[in-house]
Amino acid sequence: MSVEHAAVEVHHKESFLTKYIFSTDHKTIARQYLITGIIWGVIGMILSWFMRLQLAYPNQPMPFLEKILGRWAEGGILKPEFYVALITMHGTIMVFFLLTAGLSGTFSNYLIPLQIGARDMAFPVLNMLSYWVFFAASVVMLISFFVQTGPAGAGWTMYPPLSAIKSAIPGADVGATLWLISMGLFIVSSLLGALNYITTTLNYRTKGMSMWRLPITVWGMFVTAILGLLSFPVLLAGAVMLIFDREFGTSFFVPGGLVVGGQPVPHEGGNPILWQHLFWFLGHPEVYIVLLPAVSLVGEILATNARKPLFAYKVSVGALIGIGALSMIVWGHHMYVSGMNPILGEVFVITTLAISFPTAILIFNYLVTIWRGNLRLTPGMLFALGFLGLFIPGALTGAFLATAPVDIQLHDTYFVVAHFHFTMATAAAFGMFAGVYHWFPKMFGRMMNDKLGKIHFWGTFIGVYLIFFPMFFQGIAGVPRRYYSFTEYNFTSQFVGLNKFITIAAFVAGATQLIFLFNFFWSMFKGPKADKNPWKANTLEWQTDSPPPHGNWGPELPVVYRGPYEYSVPGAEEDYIPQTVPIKVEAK
Amino acid sequence: MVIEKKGKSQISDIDSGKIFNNGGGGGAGGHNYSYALPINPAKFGLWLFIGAIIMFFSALTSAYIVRHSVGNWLRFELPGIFWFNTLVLILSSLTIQLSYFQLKKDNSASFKFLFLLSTLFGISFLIGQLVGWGQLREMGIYVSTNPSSSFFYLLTLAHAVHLVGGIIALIYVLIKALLGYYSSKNRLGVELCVTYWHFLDVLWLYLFVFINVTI
Ligand code: HEM
Ligand SMILES: [Cu+2]
Repeated sequence: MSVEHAAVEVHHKESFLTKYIFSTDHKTIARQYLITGIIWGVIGMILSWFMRLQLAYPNQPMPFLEKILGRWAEGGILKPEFYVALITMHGTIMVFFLLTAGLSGTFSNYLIPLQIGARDMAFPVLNMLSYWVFFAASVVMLISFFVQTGPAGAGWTMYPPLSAIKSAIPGADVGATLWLISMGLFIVSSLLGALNYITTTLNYRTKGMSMWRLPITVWGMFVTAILGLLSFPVLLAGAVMLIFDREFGTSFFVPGGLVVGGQPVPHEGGNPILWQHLFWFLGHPEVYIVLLPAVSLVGEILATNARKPLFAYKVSVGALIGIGALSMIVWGHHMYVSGMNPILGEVFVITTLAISFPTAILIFNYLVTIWRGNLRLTPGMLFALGFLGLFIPGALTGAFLATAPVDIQLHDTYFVVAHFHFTMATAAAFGMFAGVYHWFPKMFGRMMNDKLGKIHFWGTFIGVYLIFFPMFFQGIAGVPRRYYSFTEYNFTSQFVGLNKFITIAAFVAGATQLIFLFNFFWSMFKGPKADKNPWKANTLEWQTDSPPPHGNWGPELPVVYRGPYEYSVPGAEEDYIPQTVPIKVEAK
Repeated sequence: MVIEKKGKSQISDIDSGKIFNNGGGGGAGGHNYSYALPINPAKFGLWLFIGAIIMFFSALTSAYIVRHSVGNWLRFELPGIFWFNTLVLILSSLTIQLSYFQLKKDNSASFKFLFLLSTLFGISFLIGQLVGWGQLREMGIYVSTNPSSSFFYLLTLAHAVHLVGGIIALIYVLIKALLGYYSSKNRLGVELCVTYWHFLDVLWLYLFVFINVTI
């Protein structure tokens, strides 16, 4: 702990290493998270292509696959055990590495200090550690692709006994060990982040920035951080117990009497359902850890680009808090078919349906915000609108799944796959894209290309619908998820044509992402210079330079006089009044 | 509408921006963050961390309760050393609190002595745990023997891991204390240690009662 004295000058010399690599500046850390997240996103997407190829052309040799994947696709046909590994890694990477670390890590880090008027996080060193521990988790996860038995293969939910018995499948061997180590590191990293986000929001708001003047983004990140802090340790506990089962022969999760490969398993008396409880106690809050940052970014972008105040700001904040609180008590809806007491199941039905209320209120407020607004269709705004277009159908299908009698039919079918790809996967990804397009000028000091952004949006939006909407029908028809091929039965093989269609859509939508990647990296160096406030927005980050200097503000911290959403105020000279404009000016 | 805590909310001089300087370049020392909680940010962060640890152990002990109620639960006698360890840990909690009082009164010598004593108690607790685990193994009770022993090793090991972190912090602060770093005006590091150490003590008592009731 070094004692640093408050210096008046804002800049101080930094070496390359402390500026770009081991930086404690929240803005640099945010960019590190963003770039790492994008890399993971690309990897996760490529994995999904291999899965889609298998589903569209089961048992058809594709020699180029052998060239890429080697022994995992001997003769050009994907091995079943590699298919489950693909599913596992795709889910893990997308949920945790892209949409948790990539999303929260980028935007909580970037926006919290800037939007509350602080110079940095409360604990900059912990913040840096948080990124580097995440980096270590990434490296371990990446290594698991290259071990002899391949990466983990028990699904992103890692249900035992499959995940607990090393000889069960190749993916339960070293790959699963590395998965558990990586997730352990990941949890530590996210805790360090959450500590910072909460402490910073509560302690480092500048003069005038009361809680009710916080932009909705900060509220979203704040609630997310609390959720993470309370639920990730529970998964860590489960992971430690699973490690004990795998390495020290305990029987927390493994029941007696199992026979694997002709060999009786020595464990006895464990309870695999216990893992499901521990997993989903994190797992369900986790989907909101993914959603809430995205939904709050979207709210901010909608208000800014509709040039209207966010409708019922306080109610929306209340809805965010309500969603966060309720999300801690609904985890059982993932376990209706686990043999749980139907009465307990009914309790979870009620809590789950209850969560639809704050969700609906929030979305309703957003719709009123854009209603008859003066919409500015920037790429960021398009993605924010696209978020609504994806989230609403997704959340509506949630009500069906929440109802236990319906879910018994739909559980573990493609209906669930479609549901969570609409609500969580693509909606959150759209929120993240919206955030990147919107805050890119601030982050990198340059503008992204508008045309390319729009092409990217339409390609992705249409593509996503073509990919995931048909899966609702497949699910209703009973097609189970996580199956290697669907050729054996009529009720599944009737969809082979549809599967081909989905696969083609997946490749087209995937190729569209190349446009984004090009736009992102090209604009970073070659885009036109951005001025301070290109979107004419009110929040604090737009009142400082693009990109903000080290320490964010000049010698003086900004002072806040008003709420974040004073857009199109009648009688005002311009259609926006930044939070830093004193009230007196308005009074004349 | 505006949640403002005037007056008491300002971060006091010793605690503010100097140690956890908010923002490498600028520093918060010269500014008042008007809405800061009436608690030092570092302490607040520590409490959040403790909250996370509580969630971790709640998960483990809930799993314990669930598994215990299923049956096939072998009862075994805990070696007496665990009672001795418990006593040592309680003692260390007492001495560290006393050392903190001495620091407040600027009784530097007795502060250092008591802090050193607490650290030594902490280390003896850890060694005592190692001995206890050894005795259990000699009795033929291994981690995989029965769910009861699995949980016993799991809980005590998890506690020990957190305790090792605490001991590292104690040693770090002890070295700084011996170098004359702390005084009644500058005691944040000691305070954080004391809080965390008491927490480890309470956590152990919780686990120990829990285990004794069921094993
Ligand atoms: C708003 C109302 C929502 C309701 C009522 C709801 C309900 C459900 C239910 C009952 C399931 C379990 C289905 C099954 O496995 O049989 C489920 C699965 C899932 N939901 Fe939702 N959901 C809602 C919104 C969301 C949101 C907002 C997200 C993410 C941001 C989300 C992400 C997921 C995921 C990831 C799964 C599947 C996990 C897996 O099995 O791999 N849901 N949902
Ligand atoms: Cu859920």
